[in-house]
Amino acid sequence: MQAHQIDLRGNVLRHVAIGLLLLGITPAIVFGQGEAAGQGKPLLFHPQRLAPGARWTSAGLTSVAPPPEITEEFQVRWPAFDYHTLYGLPSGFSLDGRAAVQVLQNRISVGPKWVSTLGPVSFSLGWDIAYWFGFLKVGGFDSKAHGWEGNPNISFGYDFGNVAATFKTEVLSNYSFVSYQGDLELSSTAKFYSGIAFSFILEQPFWKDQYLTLGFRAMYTKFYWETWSLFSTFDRYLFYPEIIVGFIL
Amino acid sequence: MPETSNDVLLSETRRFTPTMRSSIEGVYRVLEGNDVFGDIVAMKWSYSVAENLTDTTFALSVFSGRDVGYFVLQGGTLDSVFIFRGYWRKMVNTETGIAQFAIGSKNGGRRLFQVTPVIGKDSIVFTGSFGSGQGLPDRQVAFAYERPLYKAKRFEILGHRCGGRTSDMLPVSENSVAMVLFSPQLGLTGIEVDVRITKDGVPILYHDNQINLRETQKSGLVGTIEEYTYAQLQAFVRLIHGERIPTLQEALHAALYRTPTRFVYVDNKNSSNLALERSIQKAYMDTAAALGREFEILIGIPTEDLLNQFLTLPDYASAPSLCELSMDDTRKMGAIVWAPRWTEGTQLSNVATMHAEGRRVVTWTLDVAGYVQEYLAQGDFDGILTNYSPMVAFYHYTRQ
Amino acid sequence: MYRRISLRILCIACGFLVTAGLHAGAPGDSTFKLVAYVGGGLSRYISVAGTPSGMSADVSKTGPAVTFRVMWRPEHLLSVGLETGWTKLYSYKSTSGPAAQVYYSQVPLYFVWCMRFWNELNIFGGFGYSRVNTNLDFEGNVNIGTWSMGWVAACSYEQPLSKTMGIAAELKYINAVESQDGAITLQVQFVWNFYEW
Repeated sequence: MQAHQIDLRGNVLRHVAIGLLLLGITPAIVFGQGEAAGQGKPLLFHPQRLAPGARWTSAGLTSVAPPPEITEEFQVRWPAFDYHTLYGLPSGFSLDGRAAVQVLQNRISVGPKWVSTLGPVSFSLGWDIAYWFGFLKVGGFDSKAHGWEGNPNISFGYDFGNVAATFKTEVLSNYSFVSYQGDLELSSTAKFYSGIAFSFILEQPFWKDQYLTLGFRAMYTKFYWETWSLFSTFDRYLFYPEIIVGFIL
Repeated sequence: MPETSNDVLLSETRRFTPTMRSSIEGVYRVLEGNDVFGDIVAMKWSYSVAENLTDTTFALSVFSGRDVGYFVLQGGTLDSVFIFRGYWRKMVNTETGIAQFAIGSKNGGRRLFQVTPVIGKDSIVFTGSFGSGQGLPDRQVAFAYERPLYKAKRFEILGHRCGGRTSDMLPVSENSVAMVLFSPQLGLTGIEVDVRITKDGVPILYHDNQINLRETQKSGLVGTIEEYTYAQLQAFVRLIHGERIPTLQEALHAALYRTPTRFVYVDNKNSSNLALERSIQKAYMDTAAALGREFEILIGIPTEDLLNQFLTLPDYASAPSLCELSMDDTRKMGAIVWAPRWTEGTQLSNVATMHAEGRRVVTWTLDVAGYVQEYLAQGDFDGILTNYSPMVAFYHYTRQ
Repeated sequence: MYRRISLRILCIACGFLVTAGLHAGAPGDSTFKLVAYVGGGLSRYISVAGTPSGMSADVSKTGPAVTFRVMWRPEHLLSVGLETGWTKLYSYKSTSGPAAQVYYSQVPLYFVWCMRFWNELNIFGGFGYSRVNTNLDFEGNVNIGTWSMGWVAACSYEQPLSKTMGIAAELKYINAVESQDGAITLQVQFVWNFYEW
């Protein structure tokens, strides 16, 4: 593929992402306030209006397969423990918080989400702000790093009754990246626009009243936080697939 | 890379003389094209020799500090004008295109024809254009001579895997003879090669433990490469750009006879046959000495197992070697180079200790531009092993 | 070594999910089933069947495939289980020069999910690792394999024969992504609900 075609694909994705976010405003006007909020179902990704104070939480695992351009043969795919919580706020808003824990590196995000519903169809607009950090002091490494990210997102959902399906689009942005090698510190504003992610998630009862989240997220990005210690220097969009599994508590 | 061969105009030009080439080398100010290539660039010549060992091709490389950008140009003179044609590329992404330059007769062309040209600021001006992809060059670029290249300290710019990785999207495969011949254009002074031993004891160049699609074209063969004989690999395996897997001897032969490479770091990936490797090292270093050619081959020791094997060689104390382990292990094996990982920092006191013992220190594998600048400015290493030789070359040669 | 570590971690993670699931939730009236699928059929390799450049060869992309799968089926739509089996990927023989033959196959080990519609239609999806294997016959024999991460998607139509047994026809796509090996299989399977509580 020619170089300019690859860059064009990145530009197209950027415009698609912006377009989708702008498109989210239209349903907000069409749907208006939507349906009244309540405790809702045990769903975290599916857009649903929660009553103020209502809360749902899930615990599970996520696993990303970084691209071979970065990891080459050294492909250790450690899953991250994933803790996700949703807290209802007034006027269709909720607070979406998430933590990904791998001990040596971890990420915490929090952000508002506004939801509107019309029957089984719903959509949400959100903006998650995340902080990640990692440290590696073993076997020739004396490294640590941290950074800030922002992910504006839009989700569309359809509740089939016995299963809720959600399609989510996120714009991936890096606000900062700071790394340390021994005594040296290096700061970088990194790439403000890093890429885009698309997720397809099913949430449904698994056994008895226990609900399960099962999802697949496709990231097309220049930087993914879990790979900080590989110090990738590529200025290219690479594909990172992610599996999401969670038990809704 | 855009297609730049079959240039009719270049075929009409006359070759540069050695004096012309050495006069052109230097640090240049960017007059036009700063948004793409930064404010200064470094220019340096390299060469490669054809397989018949008689035809030599010279290439002028221009190293930019922006996104590991570089030009590779070939040229000649037409009357008193110097003509250059080639391509440019940014290694961090896939931006590339055709480039062309000229040094007009009044912009240094006439001066360069002198027997001993006096070169100073603005005495040589490159004016030209560059394009995108296979498109015609349509954006202006110009460089004006600023000062000579930095040569106060001898420094090794070592190309990882003979010059670069598969993921750097170079036109040749990593750890191939083609890469050995291509990579001097990227500004390196030496190469690192990854050596493994086939099932029948032949030392070959191959990085990964397994035959995989990162390094090779699909052939239905998988598994540990050491489980295959050399004949099986030659018959069935092609590297990603179609080359055959070379032997260590083939790579050293190409480096010694066909390139200006002066330093080879042999990185042993498994339990190598170090006695065989030592005999190959001695043969090629003796040949280089007989040719009057500066050419070091260092046996690299990355693990304790290989260290123990190295210490059983009867002449290990006189075998030029490089140690990636501790400073004590470096002393134990009598290595002339200590090679710590770059992620351990500049380690100024440890480096000073090694220098006091008469050893050199090379760090690996550093690709982050900010850290390269810091390590050159604040560190005291004798070399950097990198996938981005153009970037290290830029920061090194533009030092003051 | 690192792929084995990833495989172990994946198995531990799956074990955690299944075990945590089994021990959580309130007791009540429900039916849980363990269902086995055993079957075989034909496989067709649909990725690029690479052969060495410069070698003219006879390539065969069709071959046998077998599947062994055990699913835990709770009372809702979704069930979960483990799948393995064996699939021929492709093979080739040189048609000129020295005699040479390569046989390339895989054994998948996948964690699969299934959603069941109208009691007959099952949609499967899963991820895991395939053990891809080369058998080379050229100046000696080499029989060796490696792990390749991948995913699987399938749909099957199940016809009950009795309260606990049935027969199914399954169309499956299995993709060992790292080694770029994709195959479509069409299989007939024996379905057995061998345990219920």
